[in-house]
Amino acid sequence: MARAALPERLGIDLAAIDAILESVVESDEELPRGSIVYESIIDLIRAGGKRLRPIMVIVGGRFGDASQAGKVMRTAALFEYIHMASLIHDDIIDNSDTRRGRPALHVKTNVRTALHVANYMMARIVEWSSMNERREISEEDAYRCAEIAGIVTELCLGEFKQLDTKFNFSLTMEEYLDKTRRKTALLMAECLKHGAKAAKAPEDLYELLHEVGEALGMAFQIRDDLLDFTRSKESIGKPAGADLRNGNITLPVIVALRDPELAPHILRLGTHSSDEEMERVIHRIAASRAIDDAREIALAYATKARETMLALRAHPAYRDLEVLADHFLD
Amino acid sequence: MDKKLLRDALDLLSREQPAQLEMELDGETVREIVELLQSYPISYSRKLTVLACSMLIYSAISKHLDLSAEDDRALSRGILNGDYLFGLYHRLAADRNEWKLLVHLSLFNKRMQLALVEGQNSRQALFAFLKREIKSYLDRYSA
Repeated sequence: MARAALPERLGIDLAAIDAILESVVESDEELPRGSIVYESIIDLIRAGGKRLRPIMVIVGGRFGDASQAGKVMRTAALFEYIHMASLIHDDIIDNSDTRRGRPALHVKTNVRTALHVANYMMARIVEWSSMNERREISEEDAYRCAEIAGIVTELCLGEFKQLDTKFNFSLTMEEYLDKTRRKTALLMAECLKHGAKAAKAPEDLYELLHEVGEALGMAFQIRDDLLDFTRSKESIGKPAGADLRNGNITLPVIVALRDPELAPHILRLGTHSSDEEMERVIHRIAASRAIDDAREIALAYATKARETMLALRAHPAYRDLEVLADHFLD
Repeated sequence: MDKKLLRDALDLLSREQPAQLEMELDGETVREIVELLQSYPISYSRKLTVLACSMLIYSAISKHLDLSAEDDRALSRGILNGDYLFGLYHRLAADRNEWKLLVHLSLFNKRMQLALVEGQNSRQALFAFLKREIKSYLDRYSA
């Protein structure tokens, strides 16, 4: 029997998350209904998504006071807006024409419009999150929101690194892990931590949850990098090896470079490479032991996440953290 | 013009900027903001924060105004530069306890983004709008 989806297993209503995401734009009296900005954001929300970040915020919130559920949901919306806005910019940077099987926003509109729609989303979510549930601007909420929005600098540092190392096969494992931490894991770590903070959980849990989230995020991203080599175009919605085709050096490539037979073929790749040559090398990496070795590294992060989680096992919300970890690490 | 204020603002920002990221400012723009700040009775530290945050938000928007879709690499870097500066503006305002400024300038940024989607892309208009917002912030919160 197929296992229930993550939100169901955690008792989280995705429709409620989507409703609050829509309410952020719906409640902006300065945004005309039917405008390109309004329609683009509503379309983006309705295109769906796994909503992993809001789910992580909610799970973090379960370590605190249930009466703060409203604040936790607002924090969840803030993280998802940051994520959605960064995906719009990522799609432009990566030249990705599709998102969830539909044309990406910059393809549907144009680069400039997509860029400013994403910027609007960031500015609007900061404005919205700086208000409390009574729609009054609140000092506490404004600081929390600024702290979270400031994480974007770390995301950018990861992206700068990726941009500066395109087809640079001398990227070290440490550099790759640092880039991955900034680009993906940190935001996930902050989701768990800020969920707990919003719910006024005991302060000594914040760093523990951050550590768990970071290890889960690392394992998640490495798994995603592996899927790029091991899954078909149909199942991931983009050609296999898309990262390498774009010059992004991921863990399977770094590990495959240790193979003296495979390394010379990888090192010859560049912007000049033909589709056939790329295809051949991608197939060879996918069939090499680099995949298993990279999987071992993902597993090490998974183990770290599980070991760190143990310190929280006396808490009733520990079970939800386990469900989350199972989902990320299966 | 208070050159020390400007120098201190640039020092503050340079500690947080990646090496290749340059601010997008012209002397006249900065001079006008500094002069505006001089006419309000607020502490030096607050003047410094308002100036640094204004420079960040102006530079971030400018980075995104100057993009050329012709060159992929320059486009990517321009987008990230702007995003980084927006992120830094949030961090700085929070670190220096200027939550009212943060909210005020975020509203300005939101309105700017809507205007930019509508085709408004004049640097002069951007600066005039920013200056008005800083003045309105100082009028409300300088007491």
